Amino acid sequence: MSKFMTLKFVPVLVAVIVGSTFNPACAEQLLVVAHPESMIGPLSREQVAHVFLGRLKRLPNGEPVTAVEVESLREPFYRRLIGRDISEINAYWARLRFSGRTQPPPRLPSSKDALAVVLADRNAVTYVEAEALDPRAKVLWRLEP
Amino acid sequence: MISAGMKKIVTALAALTCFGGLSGVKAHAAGMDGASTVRWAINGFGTLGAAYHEEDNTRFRRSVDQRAGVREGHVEIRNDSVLGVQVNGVLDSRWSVMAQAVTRQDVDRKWTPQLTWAFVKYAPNDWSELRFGRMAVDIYLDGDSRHVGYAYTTVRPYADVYGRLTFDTFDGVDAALQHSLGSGLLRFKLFGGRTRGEVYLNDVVSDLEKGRTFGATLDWVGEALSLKLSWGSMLTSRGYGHEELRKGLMTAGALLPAPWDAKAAARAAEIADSNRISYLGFGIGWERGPYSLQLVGTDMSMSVYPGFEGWGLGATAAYRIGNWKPFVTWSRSIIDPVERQLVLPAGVHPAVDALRAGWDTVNSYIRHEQRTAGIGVRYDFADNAALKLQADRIDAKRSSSLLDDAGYRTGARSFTLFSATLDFVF
Repeated sequence: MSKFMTLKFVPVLVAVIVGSTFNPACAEQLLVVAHPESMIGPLSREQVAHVFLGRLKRLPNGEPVTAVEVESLREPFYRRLIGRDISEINAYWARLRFSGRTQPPPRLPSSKDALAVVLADRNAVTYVEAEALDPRAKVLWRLEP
Repeated sequence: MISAGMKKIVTALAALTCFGGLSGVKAHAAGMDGASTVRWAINGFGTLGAAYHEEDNTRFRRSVDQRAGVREGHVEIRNDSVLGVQVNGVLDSRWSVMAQAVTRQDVDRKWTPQLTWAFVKYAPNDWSELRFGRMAVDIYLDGDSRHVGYAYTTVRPYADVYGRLTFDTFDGVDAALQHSLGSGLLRFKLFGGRTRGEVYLNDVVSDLEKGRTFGATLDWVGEALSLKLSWGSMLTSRGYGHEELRKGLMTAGALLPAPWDAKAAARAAEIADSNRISYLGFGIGWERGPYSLQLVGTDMSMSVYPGFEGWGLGATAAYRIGNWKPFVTWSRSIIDPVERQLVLPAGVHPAVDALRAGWDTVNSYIRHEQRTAGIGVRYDFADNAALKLQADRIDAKRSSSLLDDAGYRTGARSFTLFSATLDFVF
């Protein structure tokens, strides 16, 4: 009986994997931006990753930094930044949140909402599409498509 | 098959998921409006799991603090199901508080909620952090908890590696230091406090309320690679289990002539005095693009009677294809009792003969050699939920994590365990 069930189980696994779907990624350049008068300077890719993955809340120069996420851009952002699927990022945050390490960045629905926060908070950083960039925002890093 | 209590749990899971979805949104909004410097959030996690096998006279447990297990021919939903709720408060840029409660089937087959985390955190900067209160021992590569199913790839943590480490919370303090090293971050943590938890050996539960826990972890997290070393030790002021056996040895000491009286007294003293449980663990994780690999290992020893020494090793390889993540997993553990022969003369007194037999029986309870090979898939069908299907082939020469229908350790077993879980966070 067990062998029979095993034989049935494997094809089911194969079938569900073959039927997988992919989400289209954003084709635009993404920009990591901050307040125009922010003391946060240009960032390296590692620093951007550490900030948005909750590992750094203060840069080596002492400047505090608060990440703000854009719900609609999370998937292309993390795929380009560290090559990871958004499901992996969600699992990562579950590990940190429920072990008391830190809480994930607040998520806002659009680039417009996130830019509004960044333009009002000198410590905030977020990511936006290039076409949504407010000329007042300070660009810290660019993520190519 | 599904008890009234379990139905309540399932209903609570559904209700809390809906509530949590709302509360999570409220918490984020409160954090962004700037109206208050204190931000509160209610979040949670849960697993609704089912497992099935067809091995006669065998009960599968994910950890030794469970008594029921998955019985032959029954779809068991109590083995892996769990619900956790967390309240987190960010008081200012340096101070925060967190409390987390978990309900799962315990050794008494009840679902009494347990407070697994409750601490105040002070983080003056990114490089140092202090926490006071109740915390979990930091031994897992996938977060400091074995309960958050959504956080790891497989259906459950390696039962062969972590199934015996049940005393994983303490009331005390931990201090962490972090520093950049290469492209990653190096983190060192010391922790210590009063042990919360129990030691389980078949039907014997040893209360460790007077225990002390201390240990340290060192981890490095880079872009693709993460490394972790953990060490911990738990001390009790005395052994609490097998009190009847200890009294029997004391009585035997009075009945027997020299040198047997001293030997019996020495064994009795070991039950009372031996008091250390230690582990040394490592974890290696590698994630790049769709690939992820994990290797974990633990060396364990317990001097509390009957005592054991052993090790566990686990590995998982996975490849993500969109929302699907097929994986293979393997684990193995070997545990042997500490060599403590009870050399007493036979035929002197019936009570002494019974004592000799009892001593050997208790020692044999701990003996364990088991390996597990599994294949499965994780399907992230929503932003905060995943369905997992897994088939494990379990081969045991002898096992103290599997139970027979009488509730005692098993001899050789070889069977396939089918599992499905719905893991979610809110």
